[in-house]
Amino acid sequence: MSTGSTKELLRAEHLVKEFPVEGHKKGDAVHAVSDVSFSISEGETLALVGESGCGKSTLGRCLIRLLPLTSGKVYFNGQDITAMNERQFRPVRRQMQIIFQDPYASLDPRMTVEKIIAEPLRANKVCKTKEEMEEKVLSLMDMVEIPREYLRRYPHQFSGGQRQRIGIARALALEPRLVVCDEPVSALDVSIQSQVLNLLDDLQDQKHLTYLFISHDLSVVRHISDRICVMFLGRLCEIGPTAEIYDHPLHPYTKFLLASVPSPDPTKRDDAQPLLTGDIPSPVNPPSGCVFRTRCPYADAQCAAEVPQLRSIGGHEVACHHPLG
Amino acid sequence: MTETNTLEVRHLVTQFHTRKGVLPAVDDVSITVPKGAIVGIVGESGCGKSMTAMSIMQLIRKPGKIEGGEILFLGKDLLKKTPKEMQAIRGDRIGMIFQEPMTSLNPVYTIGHQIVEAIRIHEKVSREDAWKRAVGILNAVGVPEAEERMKAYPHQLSGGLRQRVMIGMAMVCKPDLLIADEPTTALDVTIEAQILALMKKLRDDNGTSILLITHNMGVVAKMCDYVYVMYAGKVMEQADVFELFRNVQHPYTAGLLRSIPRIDNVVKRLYSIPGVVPNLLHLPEGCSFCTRCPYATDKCMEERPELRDIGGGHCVRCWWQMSELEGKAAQAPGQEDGAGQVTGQESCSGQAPEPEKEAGQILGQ
Repeated sequence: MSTGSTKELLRAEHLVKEFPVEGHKKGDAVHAVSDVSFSISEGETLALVGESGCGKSTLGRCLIRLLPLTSGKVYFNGQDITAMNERQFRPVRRQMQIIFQDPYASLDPRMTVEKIIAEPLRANKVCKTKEEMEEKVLSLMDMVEIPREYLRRYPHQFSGGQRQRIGIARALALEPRLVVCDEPVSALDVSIQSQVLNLLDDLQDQKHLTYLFISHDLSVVRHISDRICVMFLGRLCEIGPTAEIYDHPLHPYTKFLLASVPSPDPTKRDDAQPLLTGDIPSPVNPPSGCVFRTRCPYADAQCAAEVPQLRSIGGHEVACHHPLG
Repeated sequence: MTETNTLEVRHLVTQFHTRKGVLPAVDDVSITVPKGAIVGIVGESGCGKSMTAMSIMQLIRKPGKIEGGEILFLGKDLLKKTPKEMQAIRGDRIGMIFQEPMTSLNPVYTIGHQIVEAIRIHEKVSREDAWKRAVGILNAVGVPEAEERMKAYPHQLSGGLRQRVMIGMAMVCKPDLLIADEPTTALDVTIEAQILALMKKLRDDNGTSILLITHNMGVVAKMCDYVYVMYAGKVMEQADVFELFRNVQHPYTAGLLRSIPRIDNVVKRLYSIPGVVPNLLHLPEGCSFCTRCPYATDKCMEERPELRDIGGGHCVRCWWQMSELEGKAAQAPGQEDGAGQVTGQESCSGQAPEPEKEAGQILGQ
């Protein structure tokens, strides 16, 4: 997956995450993530895309151990972090941070900006003196372009875009190497969205960050990512370089997903465009074989019988029995 | 003119009287929805697009109040109707669908109960007939196993199905006008494509006019015949959809179009409109966009521009036009980002051939 020249930062092997379902018969579980393997190289942006409920956020959280995995292994910088206990994991956690989707829910309304940004510094005892701490917080505010005089303001006094900037400052306070961005711009207005995307871009350049960018917005993903990983119902469909995936999708789901995005150009209207029919199947009872087969126009008996494995075709990997030519 | 237009909103003013002052949520907005057309209102949150829709339906609550203007629906002013007459029109002649289908359906009644209720409020039909019609409309909007789903509660349906049910409920009395307020914002992109196709089909089959409110330029481009761009309670630009995307003339619309990432046109760096939407209580003296506009001059800061027709029904609320401004673009701040996105600029603001043609088609429908 990674091109030998760049260093691999994180590798996931056969990740499985199941949530038990209460009130159902014993053993029933939501199969949120099923047998997912991939790797992220240092300095790149890997996007996880898919529709709601496909397991992309769960996967992101499992990778940085915000959720325990059911099975599978995650290697960060060569170390198996799934085997570590909390004490061993603590120094590693500093290197992996997360930016959340909802800037209204992810900041404590009773804490000032200063406290919010200082919290990770305090928890990890980064600064020795009060003055050092304040200086550090101020420089983080400068970095995300929040005016210094807002230091003692509360989250409700900020707009959505500014709150997201505060969330970014908090995530970067410990100078992490990997940042999981979980739908960081989907709650923002168009004009604010581009400001935050540009900020994320700049910060990546300045601080050599690696992003795992989780999003359902295919236009945003095309803009920001180097490689893309398409998920459907807890499984990987396709993974490869961004331009490759957009220009030559091999998995039928990727193709339909891309065709569904309305283009902001009325001359490109296509009312005859084929649509994906039906809804996403229940993750409690995923279809046998390929999970996409119930919505797939190309599905046949083989798709119902065998789970397709990822295989390499023309520069990207695809899990499909009948990849598009 | 009136017979060909389902809806004509003229100089609508809706204000909110708060302790801190008067908030002009909708400020002198005029909108025309021709029969059978899909008309879009597009803008960012707080621009007044939903308030315009709520005003048309007269669903504005205190401290909000419609302060002036006319809302001509099939030639009759809705603002002169009594609350009772208005109630008879809502849900019957004007249907409405909202963004979040879960909160607009009642969780304690079955889908069937709610659709039957909607029919029987407006028409004298037996429960059985209403039930049959409800099943019919669910089939028409593509709800599988409609008979079964009639007995389901809203939480038992997926988001896409709920929105189909909402559309069915809004369409069951064959309204003349459907107001859709962000109908697909809460949905996944493959489901969004399904719902948009469904709305287009309903328009084609029944000749229903649609007022589509959205923040998504892609949805506008895909669906609308005519577009109004709103900002801070005012219409900034209005045009036929092909004209707007080919020949954008307001700096705000141009900025909006440039700042969206596109899958068919990759740029190295996104353009971004600096600053944030102004507080409606403290709007600038002049043009409400002047604080964020890269081309703002002293005149823009001091004098409020009026909406003016620049030909072919393309109206702009700006002292200038992008085609004039582009010339001095080299020095303008914010433009430096655009260096690598030549194609993006062309598609947003290229040359302007024959704007009259398409506009004429739409209005003539």
